Amino acid sequence: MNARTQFRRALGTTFAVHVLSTAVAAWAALELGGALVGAASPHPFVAEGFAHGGPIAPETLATFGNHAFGPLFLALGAMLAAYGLASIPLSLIWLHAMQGETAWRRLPRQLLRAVGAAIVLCVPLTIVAGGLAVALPLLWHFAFEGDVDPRVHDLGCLAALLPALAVAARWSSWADHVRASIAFDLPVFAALKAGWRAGATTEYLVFLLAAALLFGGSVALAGLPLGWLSAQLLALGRTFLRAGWWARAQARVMRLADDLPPAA
Amino acid sequence: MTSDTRGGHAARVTRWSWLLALATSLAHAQAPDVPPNETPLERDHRYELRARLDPATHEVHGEGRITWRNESRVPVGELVFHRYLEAFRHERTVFMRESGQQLRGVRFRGGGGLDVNALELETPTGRVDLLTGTDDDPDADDRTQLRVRLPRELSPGERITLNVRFVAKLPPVFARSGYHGDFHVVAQWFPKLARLENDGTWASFPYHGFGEFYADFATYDLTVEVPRGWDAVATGVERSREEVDGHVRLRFQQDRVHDAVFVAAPWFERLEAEHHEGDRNVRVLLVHPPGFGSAARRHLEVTLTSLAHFGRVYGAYPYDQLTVVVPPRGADGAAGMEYPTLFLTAGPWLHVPGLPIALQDEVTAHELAHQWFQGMVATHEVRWPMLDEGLTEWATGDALEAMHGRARSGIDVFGLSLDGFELRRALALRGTPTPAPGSPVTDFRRSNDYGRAIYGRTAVVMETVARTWGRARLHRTLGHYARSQRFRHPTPDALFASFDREYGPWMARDVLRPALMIGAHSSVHVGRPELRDGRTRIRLEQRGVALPRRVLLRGPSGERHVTWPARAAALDLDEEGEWTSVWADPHAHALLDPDRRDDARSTQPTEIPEGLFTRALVWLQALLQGVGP
Ligand SMILES: [Zn+2]
Repeated sequence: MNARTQFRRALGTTFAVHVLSTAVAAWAALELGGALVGAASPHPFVAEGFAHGGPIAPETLATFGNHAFGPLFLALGAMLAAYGLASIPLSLIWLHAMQGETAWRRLPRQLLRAVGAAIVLCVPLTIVAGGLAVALPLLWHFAFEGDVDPRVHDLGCLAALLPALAVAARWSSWADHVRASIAFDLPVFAALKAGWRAGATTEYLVFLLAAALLFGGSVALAGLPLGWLSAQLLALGRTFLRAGWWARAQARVMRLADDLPPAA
Repeated sequence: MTSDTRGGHAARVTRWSWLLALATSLAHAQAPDVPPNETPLERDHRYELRARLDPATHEVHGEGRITWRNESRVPVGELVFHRYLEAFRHERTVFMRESGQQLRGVRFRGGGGLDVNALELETPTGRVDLLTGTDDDPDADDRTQLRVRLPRELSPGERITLNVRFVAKLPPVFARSGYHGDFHVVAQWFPKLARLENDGTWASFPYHGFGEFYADFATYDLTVEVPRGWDAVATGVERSREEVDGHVRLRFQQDRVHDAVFVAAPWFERLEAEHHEGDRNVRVLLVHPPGFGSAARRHLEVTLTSLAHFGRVYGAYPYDQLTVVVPPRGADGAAGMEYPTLFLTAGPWLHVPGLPIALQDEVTAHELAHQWFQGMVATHEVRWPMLDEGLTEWATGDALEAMHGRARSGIDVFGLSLDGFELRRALALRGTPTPAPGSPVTDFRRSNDYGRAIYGRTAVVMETVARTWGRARLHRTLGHYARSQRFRHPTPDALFASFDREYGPWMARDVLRPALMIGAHSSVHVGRPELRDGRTRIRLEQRGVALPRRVLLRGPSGERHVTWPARAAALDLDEEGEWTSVWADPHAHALLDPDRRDDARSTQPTEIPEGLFTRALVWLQALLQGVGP
């Protein structure tokens, strides 16, 4: 079984995942717009001020700052957290679809394992990658506290971020492969082992870069006529890109995990 | 004290001031344009200075010969010198106490000083020591001024020659003067005579945290010695350069300037260009640290564009050379500072198009504008900072608007743009009240208030005039002021006279004096449209400085504009048709309104601006895909 087959099997589910995320996003965008309009209504033209020399900053902030921004950011944060939590069962269902059937009976057990693995992986990742991202540029900065060519200093600071990025990519790829293994019913520790052996850091970075390009394209096109449609096509492209990554991850752990149960 | 009580009065006087305006404009139609005052009044002041920089001790050993003439109407019996490096000797000086030992976020790190070792008067019978017997307590808190008695009174018009020997100790660069590594900014470095006013009083003041300039125009002849392998740039034109016993000796000369500085380092890289204006050629020299090439090219481009702009508006740059110094990273205390014919700019080493304009173009344009408002129109910076920093700030914003367009003149980064004067309005008018722009430096306690009032509010007042009555007229007005006051020391009266000449006597009385000297706002309040029997009634009120405004009406039957003249404190509209929305000053000409939210009313709910939903959707989709499966 190769990644192409798995990708094809899950086409329908991939589309459903996309529709779900788009529906949630559209609902949030409508709520956001409504809240802004509600806050702006006593002061018409505040929004129109954007057309004349940029936003009329103090009035815009005063209009939305008191009532609208705080609750809005809270609501958006809560929505993102909820969707982030829902992503664990959703990804398991997606991976099952790639295997050819959704094993609803095994889902609760796998879900528990996936949540456990996510916690085990997330905490050290945040500490190590975050620590590196802060510590290395600072180390570089203080190593040259005297006079140093500002080009060497600034480019060095940027380069000092690369180890943190590499660690984050390696770790994220690991986490995805662990989940792909858990979807094959592997226990947590076997899944951690199989996921680690998968590697694929470079491929994960390429996937991230491609997703970022698609997102940049959709932002650039959003302002144009029919931008709505093109932005949606690019967003759909991003979902299928993710599906491709999952399919390859699953194929990889199947090759690597020699102790997979015969059911898979 | 504030604006809101003045509306009615201003409205009444404006009515008949129209007639006066008409009369004065007719009177001026006959008068020839003011000839530019190219002749320095203080032609007999002369400083011949010799300086040797010791980069190891960061000391400048100097001697000088000062020729000076009593140009006042009365005899003088004493001389007053400014010794401003003394401000950096310890924490008890006026500068340190007022600035809270920091300036623009840079903290005071160490001692400086200016030791005057000899000060002698040349007389027919030999030199007379002026230092002995002076009250110059070495332990005094502030020694930035030095008073010496003359052996006899000097009658008006009489000339003297002084010989002086001194050692200037540079502090680690903190407030303009000092060193960072081997980069040396040598400013306020010699004992300099204060300005003697016509009535015989010395316009002398200690070095304040926020203001320093007020001096006579003079001819400067400056000889600088730096170690071999080093380079220096200075006020004026480089006349000669030679190597003498292990040193490079450079000579600079400039007349009609009120200060002279030099900047030295062993690593200057140079960029040069020519600026042509009429039959004049100006050599523009820019020096920068290695690695700053791309930023330096942008600074040079902005300098040349702004030289042309300022020359057109305020009269051509009159000197043969302009020198721009890009300071190295870490020398923030020296960044963004103006001296006659030389300024220090600021910014990162890399020019990135799209970075906030404040980081790149703004400092260069601002310091260059000072060549006019301070360099040539040499106002009293401590008493009238708005004539110096305030006018410079408006001229800067005006130049940036010409360069980038109004919508992008403040911020232009990643698709987010902001009008520079809207930014200044936001900073100047909102928040805790400050003293009015017409206040002296000594009225300010916090640098934030000083910036908001002197830079921000003055610029916002000027821009309101530009947008309300036309930019060309304001250019003509400030051009008249800058040309007629060139090489002079005017007060706000001269500025207001130029305004009254262009607009009529109501301008200073009803707009500028309230806005600048009292700090008045100009705000409007728009009532809700009342629709009845096919007619719409709306009441609009304005408070503070009376300004003419346009009013936009919108409704099912379309859009139309109504003119709201300045003389009407309230406007009662009773219009045929159904006008559901009303917006006073929709194009934001009146920047003196601290809160525009009540400038518009509507009976309809606000519509979501076009594209907002799509943008929100795209961003939210990306966020959800980021946290999603
Ligand atoms: Zn300035």
